[in-house]
Amino acid sequence: MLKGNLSTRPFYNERLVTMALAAIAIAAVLLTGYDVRRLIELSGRRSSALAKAEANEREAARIRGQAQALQQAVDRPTLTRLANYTREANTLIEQRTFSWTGVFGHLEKTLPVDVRLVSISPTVVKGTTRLSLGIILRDLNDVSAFIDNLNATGAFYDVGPTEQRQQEDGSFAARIEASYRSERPAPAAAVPSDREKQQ
Amino acid sequence: MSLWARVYEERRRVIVPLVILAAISVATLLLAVWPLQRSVTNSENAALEAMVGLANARRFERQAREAADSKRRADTELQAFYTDVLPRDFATATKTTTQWLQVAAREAGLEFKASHFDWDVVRDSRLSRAFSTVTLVGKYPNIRRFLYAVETASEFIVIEKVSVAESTGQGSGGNLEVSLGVATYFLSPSGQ
Repeated sequence: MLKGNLSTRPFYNERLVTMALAAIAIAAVLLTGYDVRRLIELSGRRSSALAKAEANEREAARIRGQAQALQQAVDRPTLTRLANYTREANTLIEQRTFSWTGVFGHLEKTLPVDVRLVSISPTVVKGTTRLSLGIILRDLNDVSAFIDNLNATGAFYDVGPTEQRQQEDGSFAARIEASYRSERPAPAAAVPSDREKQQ
Repeated sequence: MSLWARVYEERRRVIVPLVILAAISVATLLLAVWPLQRSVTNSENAALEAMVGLANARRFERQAREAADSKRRADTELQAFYTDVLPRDFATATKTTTQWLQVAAREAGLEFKASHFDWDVVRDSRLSRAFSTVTLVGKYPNIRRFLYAVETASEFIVIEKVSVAESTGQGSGGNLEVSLGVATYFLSPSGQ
């Protein structure tokens, strides 16, 4: 038995073809819709971004111009000169507020009995107060004792002798230099110490 | 005729517009949407950079404004220091300082021996320095009292050096002779 299709236009699954075409049509329409929506959205975003960038650049240029004008008003040489004047004023104020009674209070407690203080001069260098102390003494060992006493107070540091010489009467003149943690004037500075009471 | 050709032949009026539509959609996606997407990304990056640039400019301006403000403030404070705290000129400096030291010495129970003021211009400064060596005689507690008075005075008097010696004058038992290196400052006439 022979099997064959002798029809010149055989049937095919038309529904399948229709469905396929419909699916393609839906996909094409959806893609077109997506394209249109994306184009509109992206165009808007680009315009907005460009406008924002342009506005920000314009604003930045304006602000930079203002800042440069301000900077020109505060030029570096003027600022440096002003900083020097301010530093000078601060150094003078530090010298002015130096507590002499505070130093004398420490010296009264630390000066060995046979040592006589003859001069004190403070200098302020970069915020540090350096004291130069001139003393007269009979025994050079008292220099070490005095230095130890000064260090022990905690108010003096970097303490050391810079000069020692014998005088005609046999006594010694010495100079001690020390850094000093300056204090504000004490209200009760006039209270006499033991040494004062002896005098 | 193959089956595909027959389907195309029979549905050409649908397939052709459909293919054209699909081709246009794909072409739009490839040639317009994606390049625009890249362009938007670039524009948004540019906007971001512009925003960073703006923030930098604002910081730059704030620093410049702070520098200008601190300059103005320092100028004002310095001017106040020069005019309100320091004596006006050499004559005022010597007069007020000497008078004040004499009164303070008397009140502290010290004898005011001598003082002589001189002045020099401070290098690289608008200020001049009036200085003197003041000699006082008295007891140690009184010297301390005097120093405390100087420390707490409103006058701008800097004690630069204190030298102490036993007084050798008649009736000077227990007295000390103190030489004070004192200085005050005033605005140089050329520094105003």
